[in-house]
Amino acid sequence: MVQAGLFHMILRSCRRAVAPSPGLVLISPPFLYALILLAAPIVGVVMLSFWSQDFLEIQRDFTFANYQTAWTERVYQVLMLRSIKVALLVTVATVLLAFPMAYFLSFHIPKRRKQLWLFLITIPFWTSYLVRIFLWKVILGYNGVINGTLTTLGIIDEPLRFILYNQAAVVMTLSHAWAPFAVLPIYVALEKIDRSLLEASVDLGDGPLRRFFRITLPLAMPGVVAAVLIVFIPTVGDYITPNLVGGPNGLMIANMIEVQFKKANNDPLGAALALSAMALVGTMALLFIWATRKYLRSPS
Amino acid sequence: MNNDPIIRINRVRKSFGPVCAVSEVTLDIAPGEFFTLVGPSGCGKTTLLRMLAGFETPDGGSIRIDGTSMIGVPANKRPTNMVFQNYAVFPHMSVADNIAYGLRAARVAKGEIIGRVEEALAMVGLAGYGARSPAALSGGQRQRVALARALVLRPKVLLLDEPMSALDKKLREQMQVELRTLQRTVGVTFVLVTHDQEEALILSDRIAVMFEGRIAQVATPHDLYQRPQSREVADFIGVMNFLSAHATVSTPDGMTVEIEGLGQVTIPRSQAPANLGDDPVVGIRPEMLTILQDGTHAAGRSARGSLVDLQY
Repeated sequence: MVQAGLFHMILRSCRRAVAPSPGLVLISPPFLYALILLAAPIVGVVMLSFWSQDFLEIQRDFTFANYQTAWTERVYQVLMLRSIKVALLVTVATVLLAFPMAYFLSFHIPKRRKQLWLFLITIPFWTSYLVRIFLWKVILGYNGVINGTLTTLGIIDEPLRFILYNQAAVVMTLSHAWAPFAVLPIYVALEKIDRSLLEASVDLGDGPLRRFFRITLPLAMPGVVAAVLIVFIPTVGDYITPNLVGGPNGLMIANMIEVQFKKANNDPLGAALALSAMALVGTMALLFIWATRKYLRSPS
Repeated sequence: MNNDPIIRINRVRKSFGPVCAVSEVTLDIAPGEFFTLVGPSGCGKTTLLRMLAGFETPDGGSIRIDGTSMIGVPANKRPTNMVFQNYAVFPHMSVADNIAYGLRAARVAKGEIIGRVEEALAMVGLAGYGARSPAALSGGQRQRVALARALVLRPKVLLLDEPMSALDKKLREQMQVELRTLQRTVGVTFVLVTHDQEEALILSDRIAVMFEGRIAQVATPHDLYQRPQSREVADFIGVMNFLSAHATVSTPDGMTVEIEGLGQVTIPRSQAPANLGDDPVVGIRPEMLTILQDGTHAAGRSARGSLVDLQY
């Protein structure tokens, strides 16, 4: 999106004048930066995905074989579908949990306290992502907080094994990790809602529940859509969390990509898997935006 | 039409923290009346209107609309509808959906909704605009949508919160005429809040002037202009010159005062409230004065002066 925006700006500036326009000069450092650090690696990966690995050498003959493998072999299909399923579950859980938080923050916290609350919401970011995942291991583990508490209280005789090293643990951990990213855009969208619209809705006869579904939610949709995309897109490609709390059944496509690049030494297949995942996620994101387009038109 | 008031406000109070917004207001509004609450900003007029709509709860006193007490009745259950200051037209809905909003909330049958929306659009002069997005409308058109959206529900009382303040002067004057015509056509009781005394005088059947949470005077526009009961009302409504005077004779018919530079003037009782002291203030509207050349014979009373400044 950022790249597309930049590109658009450049096109516009080019059309306007032959002389270097101030806009073009202003954006050229970040544009170069984006070109070198974003576009170039992607081009490299694309090229790699059409080559093949011959032991230690890369064969630079054009082939679709990697994509064929990526899309037809059972293990890749399973991992891809599982990644999407986990990402969808994480997205739904995160947005459903984030919405009430954002709503409370926007509608029930007095104005002068909002800054403080926003600040508090960002506190989890003060610790590293990795530390937070390890923390979930501590909470969910065999000798962890939950099992320890339940055993001490005598509710269970033996520690529960099903709460760690599975997909549910991945979903839980990721939902927690991404929560603030979902709260913030929804909060911003809710803040932008003119409060007189809510009064008008009640004045015209709606109770609180109908007002929520007819006014508040539709007008908060830009924030919800942003939250969904912000959570869904990176979650599909996450490989640290499944690695640490996922167990064998919690592994996702990114773990397989990592395996291809490292242990299996098949960079081209890894590249093809990565690009396939990217294409799939990109398509799903675009479809989602298309499906919600009527809420995204900016008023006025 | 019966003569029972449609709105009875009795000793209503409302404070926001230490600030008293409305204190002990008592007011009756007749059915079909175009009633205006006017006053400077912060005088409590909007708070009073919002208490009628159900957006604020009075600290004390009672509000009855059409004979029913409104205490504890939420805004969505009241026989009132409101036109908001910024119109509050729902940006994610078409004009027709905006107007149908309340009908859908009331679960009116689909077929009837279509007809009533068309009717409401025609009433405010927006026939054929139903499919448009509010973003494509001008300020005046949005106001019409807000009016249609409220009136389509056939409320007993229509509340208007400074509906003209966002319009430019020309459009405002046009909308004032239309609003007056519309009110006569539909016969609904209108309660308008405005800080614009001119607008209040043009539109209203009766006006309540409010200062600092209290009602200073309730009267027809004519009486308010001609017979303000206090100096602050006289000062707020129109332009008034104030002259200090000294009372000399007071009879049931009128009051004779000595005004510095003008001499003795007798004021009829209708213009002079009985409870004035010995040193009343006399007000005179500028349009009652005529400037004459020095030495010209004056028909009435005259005083000598000099021309200091001239504006067109």
